[in-house]
Amino acid sequence: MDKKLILGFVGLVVVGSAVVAGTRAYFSQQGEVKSNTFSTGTLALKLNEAEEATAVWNIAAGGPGDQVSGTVNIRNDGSIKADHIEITASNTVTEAASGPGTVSTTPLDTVLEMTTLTYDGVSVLGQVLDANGNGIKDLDDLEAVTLDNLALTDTGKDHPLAMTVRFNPTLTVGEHQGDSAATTLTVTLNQVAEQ
Amino acid sequence: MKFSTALMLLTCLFFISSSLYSSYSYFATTAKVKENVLSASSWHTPEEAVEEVDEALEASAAALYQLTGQDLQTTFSKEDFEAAVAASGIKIESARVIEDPRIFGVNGEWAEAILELTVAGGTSQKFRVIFKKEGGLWRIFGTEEL
Repeated sequence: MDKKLILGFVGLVVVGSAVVAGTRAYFSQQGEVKSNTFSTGTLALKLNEAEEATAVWNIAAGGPGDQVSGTVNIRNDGSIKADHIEITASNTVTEAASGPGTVSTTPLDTVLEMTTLTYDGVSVLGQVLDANGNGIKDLDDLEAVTLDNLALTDTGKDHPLAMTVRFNPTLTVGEHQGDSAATTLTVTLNQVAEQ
Repeated sequence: MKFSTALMLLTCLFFISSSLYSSYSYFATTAKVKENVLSASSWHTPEEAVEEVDEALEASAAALYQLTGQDLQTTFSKEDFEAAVAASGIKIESARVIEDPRIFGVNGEWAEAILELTVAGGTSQKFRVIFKKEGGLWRIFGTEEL
């Protein structure tokens, strides 16, 4: 085979290869998918439209039989739905500094009787047991339980928790004069039923 | 099973459990309702009422009348009451509490205590004294001889 023929063959092979390669070139276009942000939703618990509520149930100078009613509106202002709330209570009893209230007797929170306790208009007083066995359901009993599985499945809607508390007329005695009980309720909003 | 194999298996199980556990963590958030303060003031107690009656019995009919309730004062005027006590001729030497007062009634508006009165000559008699709460004060509603 002479040189021209060899070159011609090589040239043919090159062109042929290019044709073959060309037949395997597909259309493609590159682009970028930018800013893929994975944000979590939020649960945002609001109590009376605020981050926390204060002084919903207050009596400054009470006596046997005196009572007070109060309501705290509980709402999920978050972006995802929750399942339920649970509520716990903590009491701090302060004895009187002077007068008959300095004489030791039953703690004041044991005579502060809850006569009504409703959530969304339905009584939940049944969840509170008479743990201290004094015949009434009082703030001391509330401290011993967790009010659980109170449904809160929507967002942006208030769910009222209402309570009436009174100084039990027969259990509140002279030795309670000047005593006080401060109660803090802790409300927890849970995302799923298992919590 | 070799010890080392068992250890590896346990380690694997631990990590699998951990991953399963973390996959079940859900959101929860809390908020508080603070400063709900219920304070008791001073009030007139049945014990104080009994003490007052005790002192009034030994003092005068007029003092005792001041401690009676509306029902009794509607029935007897002060003068009639004093006259009735004077007419009985009884002079109370002393009074003592036999049973401390007990509050009763649905709203705790009643109380009772048992007193023993000793008259001149040393004769004594027990009485149940019934109190009714009126305007925040315990007042004598009536008595019962025991």
